[in-house]
Amino acid sequence: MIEVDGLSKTFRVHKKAPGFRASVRALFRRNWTEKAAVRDVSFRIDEGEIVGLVGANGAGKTTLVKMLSGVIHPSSGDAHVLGYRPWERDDRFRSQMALIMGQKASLWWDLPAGDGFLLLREIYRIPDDRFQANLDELSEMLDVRDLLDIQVRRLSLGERMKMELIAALLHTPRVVYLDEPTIGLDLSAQRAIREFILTYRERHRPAMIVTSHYMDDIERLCERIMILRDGEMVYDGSRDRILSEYAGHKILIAHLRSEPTSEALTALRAHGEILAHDDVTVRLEVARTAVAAAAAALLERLSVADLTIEEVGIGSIIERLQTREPSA
Amino acid sequence: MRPHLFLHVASLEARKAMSYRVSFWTNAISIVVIGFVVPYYLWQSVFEVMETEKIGDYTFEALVLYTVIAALLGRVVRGPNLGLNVSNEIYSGELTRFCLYPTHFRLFKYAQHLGGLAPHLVLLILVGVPFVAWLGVGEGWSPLSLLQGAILLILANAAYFLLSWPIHALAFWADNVWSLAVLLQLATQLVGGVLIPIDLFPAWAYRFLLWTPFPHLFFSPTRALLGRSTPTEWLQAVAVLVAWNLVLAWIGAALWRRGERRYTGVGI
Repeated sequence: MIEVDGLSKTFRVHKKAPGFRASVRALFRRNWTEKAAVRDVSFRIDEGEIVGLVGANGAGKTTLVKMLSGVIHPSSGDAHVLGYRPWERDDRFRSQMALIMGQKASLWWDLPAGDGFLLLREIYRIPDDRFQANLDELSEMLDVRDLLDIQVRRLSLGERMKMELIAALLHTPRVVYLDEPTIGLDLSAQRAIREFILTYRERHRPAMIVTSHYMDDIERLCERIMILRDGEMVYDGSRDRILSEYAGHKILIAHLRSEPTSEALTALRAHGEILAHDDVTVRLEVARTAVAAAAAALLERLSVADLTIEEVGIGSIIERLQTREPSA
Repeated sequence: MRPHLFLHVASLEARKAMSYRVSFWTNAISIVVIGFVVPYYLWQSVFEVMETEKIGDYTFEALVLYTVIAALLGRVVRGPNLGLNVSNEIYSGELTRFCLYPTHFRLFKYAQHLGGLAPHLVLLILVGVPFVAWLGVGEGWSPLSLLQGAILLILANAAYFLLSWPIHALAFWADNVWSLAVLLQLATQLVGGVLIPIDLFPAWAYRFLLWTPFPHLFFSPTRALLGRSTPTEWLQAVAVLVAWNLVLAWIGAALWRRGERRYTGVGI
């Protein structure tokens, strides 16, 4: 459904030093620099898959999504979505695809969302009965039926996001890109949006790419995860494989009866990395093979009231993969 | 783009353009003050100072009538041009949503442009018609002149849109083209005949300008409505506008095709 082959995008950006003199100089002469936002990325996504695309700021997630939705042209490489090159903007492609941007409104600000939906019915040529059925289904699922007559600009951020989701899904797209769909929302709104996405996927089976900085989004929505670092794909695989492949460590958490001495902490560093410590707790990350020895050292060196051993969370592995190669 | 969608977009834009009452009535007042009162007293002073009955072929009444009608038609020709805002959409990344819709962007914008005319047309009827009736419509006015003026008005409206389009498309390269848009507005007002009829210009300048689209934006439709155009002049205006519209449509499309490859969709 989505096939990407060696896709790259390089932006040419204008550089200007701060200050008045530099501003005047830039009127006559500009300095340009090239920034590779996406480098030689290849993958394939099938119908019904939800893929989490993660990476630090500037890793190239949004640029990749923009290329796959046809908003921008790539510098090199090729991609086919539903059999079309996205940036050729064939109407048959655009009528089966949706891009939901958490940071950008696509609805008409000065009009009620209901008016915007009617326009989208015309743009996507949705038959009346299907339009009404879809609108009923989506507004019911998102619990916004009473808000359709209110100007978009008067809605709360969470309500607006729900309207954006309806606007993007009214034509039942077969490919959906969700760029930061829960950004800026409170926890209950985030949860509602996530539940909606899962239910929608269950009913309609589109291919979905979700980008988010919230690990909860990725963990709860996506079985497959792609991680970009500096524009390069550093991981593409199942969510579970991340744990088995990269969770080479465990966390030992010791609750203490008395404050740890500096000598004891120095000795513990020989067994692993101290992630945090205070008067009553020490968190020590150690290799799986060294857990028994580290636990013994903790019990011997410190006055331990309680000791727990935890797996490293998927979120922290992803965070590490985004910025550096994790130690296995 | 299907006609039904075109009409729907225009209607939506018309509703949007009329959603704010304060802005609507402020515009109405500005039409009366800037469009009617200022030219009336300005030309009165000019005629008094020059101690003349006529300037060129125009009496005081004819000149005021011309200025008022040109100003009113000017609003219809320009439409909500600054609201068209395509360059700003390129600059801010708002264009992104239009890249996603399975529809022709330029026609979509033209539908919005026409829809945005709604408040101008309503004001034309509410404010302009009573004022013109008070001034008197002049001698040459007839149903035929009305039809000729309307045809030129439609062509001139399209020409102004097509003239603006390449300037907006330059935002793909220059990011901010606000100054060029303002320049276009000033230039068209000056050589288009909004401020003074261009047949008061030197003869050589007048003859030259008639081959450009500018005088046919405001001067020719106004003259046609007032029944001051000969059939030859009207036909020349139609031919020049049609030719320029075709050329400008081609230039706009070519620039857009090249420019959109540079679009980066900033802001998301």
